[in-house]
Amino acid sequence: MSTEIMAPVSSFRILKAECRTEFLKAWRMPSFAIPALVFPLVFYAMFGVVLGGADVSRATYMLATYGIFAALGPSLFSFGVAIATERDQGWLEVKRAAPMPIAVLIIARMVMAMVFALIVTLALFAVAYFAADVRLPFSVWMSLIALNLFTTVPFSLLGLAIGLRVKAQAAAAITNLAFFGFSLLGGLWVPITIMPDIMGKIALVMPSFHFGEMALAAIGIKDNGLPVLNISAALGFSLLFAILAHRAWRHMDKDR
Amino acid sequence: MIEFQGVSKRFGTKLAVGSLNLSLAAGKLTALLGENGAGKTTAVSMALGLVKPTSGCVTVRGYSAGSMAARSNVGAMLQSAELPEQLTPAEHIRLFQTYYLDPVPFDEIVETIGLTSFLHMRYGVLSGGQKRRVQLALALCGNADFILLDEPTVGLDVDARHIFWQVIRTLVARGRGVLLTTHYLEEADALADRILVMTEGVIIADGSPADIKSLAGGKIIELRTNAPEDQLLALPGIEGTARVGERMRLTTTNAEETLRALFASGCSVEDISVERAGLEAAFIGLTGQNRRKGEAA
Repeated sequence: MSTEIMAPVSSFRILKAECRTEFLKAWRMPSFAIPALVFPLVFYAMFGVVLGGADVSRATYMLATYGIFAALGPSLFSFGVAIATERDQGWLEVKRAAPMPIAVLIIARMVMAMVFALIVTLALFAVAYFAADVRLPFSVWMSLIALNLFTTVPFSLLGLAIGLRVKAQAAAAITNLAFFGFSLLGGLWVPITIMPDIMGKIALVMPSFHFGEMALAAIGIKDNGLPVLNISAALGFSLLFAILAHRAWRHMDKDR
Repeated sequence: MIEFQGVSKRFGTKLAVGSLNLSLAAGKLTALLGENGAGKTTAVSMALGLVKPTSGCVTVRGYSAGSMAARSNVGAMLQSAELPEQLTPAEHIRLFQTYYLDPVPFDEIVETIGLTSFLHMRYGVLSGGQKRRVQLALALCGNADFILLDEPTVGLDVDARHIFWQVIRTLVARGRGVLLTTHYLEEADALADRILVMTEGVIIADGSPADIKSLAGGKIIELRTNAPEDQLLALPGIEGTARVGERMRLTTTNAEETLRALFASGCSVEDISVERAGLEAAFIGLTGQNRRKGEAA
């Protein structure tokens, strides 16, 4: 809609208010905040550090993949479950009737997912640094942060596609399935290399796997140059999720 | 001015709203009266741009409904909309105020609607009536010229309803144009300058509360008869007929004339009751599965 750009109020001002609101909402909802914040930390501390006897190479390897895992939670849940819930409740209709560009709402949620991913990433870094003596060059810490933040975008779009298509209860089930499925089958919890061969083949069709491999490359564990296959696959999945989200949006908007 | 120009909406084969023409002026309250499923919510949704008409168009001050300019001029309270429960009324209102250039001052909206006692509680723990008040606050906080209220007082107790009425009257007195949907006749009568009665997507009566009441000024006759409905509709004084179980319900301006003619026709007539038609009865007469003389009313 061409008039969409003619917001009476600065969209940036609305965006700031929406970001703050999204963060408050997420923070005050344990069913979101706990899987998003606590799962990655507890799992990493247990599988990456404690069970490995604080072995540095193991803790370093898992820091890469658990960072991707930390980006998955807030993106999938804040979009998949929360959008479906707010749509069921009629809240999305109230927003669409209000004089605010609805895209701002989507962007605010992505920002919120990124903030959560950043918090968890930094907490993971702290665990790795202090509990397992992981030492990495500054540039590697930074690239891990950048990669984890970028990872929230495609998974937010996938969550959005789910949240716009199905009812809240189904969305919760599908989102959980995606969250745990991507994590396990994508090798984010346990390295694919120590699993049976078939798992390696399955992992190739998991978007999470390719983001995980990119993180491993960033950390210098996969030492065969730029992971072109993984980068292409990750971008391909991102495009696919963007298309799915766009189509779900059009589907919801067809009466408009 | 909000204008519906020959607006129709079909969902599949079902006609939700049929050729609606309606102008909503500033400083007036128009009530859209009808039962659930009559098409009231669809009409409101089209004015907000949430639903696109199958034909015709809706404009707000000349802007196409749903455009940003149109949305800036309309505040709405939707019938079935729950707000995110983790936020407080204060947070909800402050967020909504950022959407508008010239919002109502925060304290004024809190005062007007009476939110003080639960302003900083989570929305999720509020009572039904308190939640409705917060929703009303969101409709009003933008200081928009037009306010659409879709069944705003459903589920409210009498006191809360009267508070709502007071707020709505103040709005109209300050020059806002209000479209209110309701299935409470009393509500339409108490607030409206104009009442439109809607059934199955069609406006079957349109007039001042006095006009609508005069429709209800006649009598309701109920009886069992073997006379066909067409013949009943042709009786003197008949306004409408409706079947109620095995009995027919006749709305008439002159019960004596109607009955005299019916007896004279030689049809069987049994089990008669005659009562004064209140607004309620007229409303049921108008919107039941009924047929009326002409469709215009």
